[in-house]
Amino acid sequence: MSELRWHPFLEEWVITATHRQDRTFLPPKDYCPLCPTKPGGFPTEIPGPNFDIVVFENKFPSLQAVPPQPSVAATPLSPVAPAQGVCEVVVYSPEHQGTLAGMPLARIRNVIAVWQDRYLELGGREEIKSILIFENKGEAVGVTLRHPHGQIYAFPFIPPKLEKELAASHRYYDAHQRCLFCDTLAEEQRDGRRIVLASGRFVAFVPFFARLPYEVYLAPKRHLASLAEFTAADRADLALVLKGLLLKYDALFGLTFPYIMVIHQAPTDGGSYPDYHLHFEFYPPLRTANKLKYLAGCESGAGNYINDTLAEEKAAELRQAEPQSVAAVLAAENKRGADGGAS
Amino acid sequence: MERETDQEYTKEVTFLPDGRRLIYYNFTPEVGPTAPDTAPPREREER
Repeated sequence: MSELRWHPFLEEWVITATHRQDRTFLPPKDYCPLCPTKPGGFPTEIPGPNFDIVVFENKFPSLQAVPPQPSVAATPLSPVAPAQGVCEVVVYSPEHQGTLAGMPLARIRNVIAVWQDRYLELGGREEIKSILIFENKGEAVGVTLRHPHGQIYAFPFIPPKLEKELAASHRYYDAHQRCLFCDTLAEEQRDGRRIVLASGRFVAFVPFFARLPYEVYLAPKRHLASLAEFTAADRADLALVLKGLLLKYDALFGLTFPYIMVIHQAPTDGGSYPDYHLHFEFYPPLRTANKLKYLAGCESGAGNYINDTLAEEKAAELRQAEPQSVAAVLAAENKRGADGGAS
Repeated sequence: MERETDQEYTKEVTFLPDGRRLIYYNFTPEVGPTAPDTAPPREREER
């Protein structure tokens, strides 16, 4: 059962999806539903063995193309609506082991091409207003399947966080005739203290206003509103910075670093968003190697984050972590190729 | 079953027994150096 229930005080939808309580939880490797089915073996979600990347509709979706009717009747104070939309799983590789950080650049480029394809295809549907591409990595952020994968939610509305960003971007554009994100990026580049890694086309930085230790934004230097505008060169360059950043995260404490990665981009509701700038946001739950940052009283109750760290200091730590440049990412990749590394 | 192609990959759309959509993406092997073009684009389109 899934439905949308309206929160009248925050003026946003809550997705109720009770069937998700029954979803597969950290199964042993031999019963991973995201591995291709082996001959005579446990039937997984993926019947075919030959693929680079596979995408399928989530078995336990929060949003569905043909949703059930709500379980309760709406009232003027309590609107309810069918949970229409699409929830997809993107399996990055047939291999059970591994992470996005450890994958060859070519595979990361391919994952980005698939994200682009999904944005275009799902965003082209009349009922879909916004696409959220994301990855939850690590049990610290609630991962239930360890096989490297991400997810896509295609919403029938614009989610509140994006809606707030769109409104702020629009107000700034009206006042200055410039993109808020482009100006922020220019200021970050001028200052330099919070930059983590950069290439010709993309830059990763701990934002001035970081709410979490090790929070990072990754964005194109050029004004691009969505993945739809990416060229092959953009995808290649993004793969380089994305891999470099994820390797830095892993090198920071010498462990496979948990994070939530999301892509914020222009809605697909038919509107025009010339003032919005695509970017990735990373929300790592760790504040030290073995301590979690909890969203406690102030964060959960007031909506105001308390960051116990300075963005400038955390950016310096990430900058020092290997690899220290995109040239180093490329050099390691070429060495891996020369050594016969798998792709 | 529907099959699409473009420059980089083939996309094979099929359905699981319970009716859910599944898409296999297969990419053409790359030719040439692994180094991507990291040069900044000529035009800056900041607004």
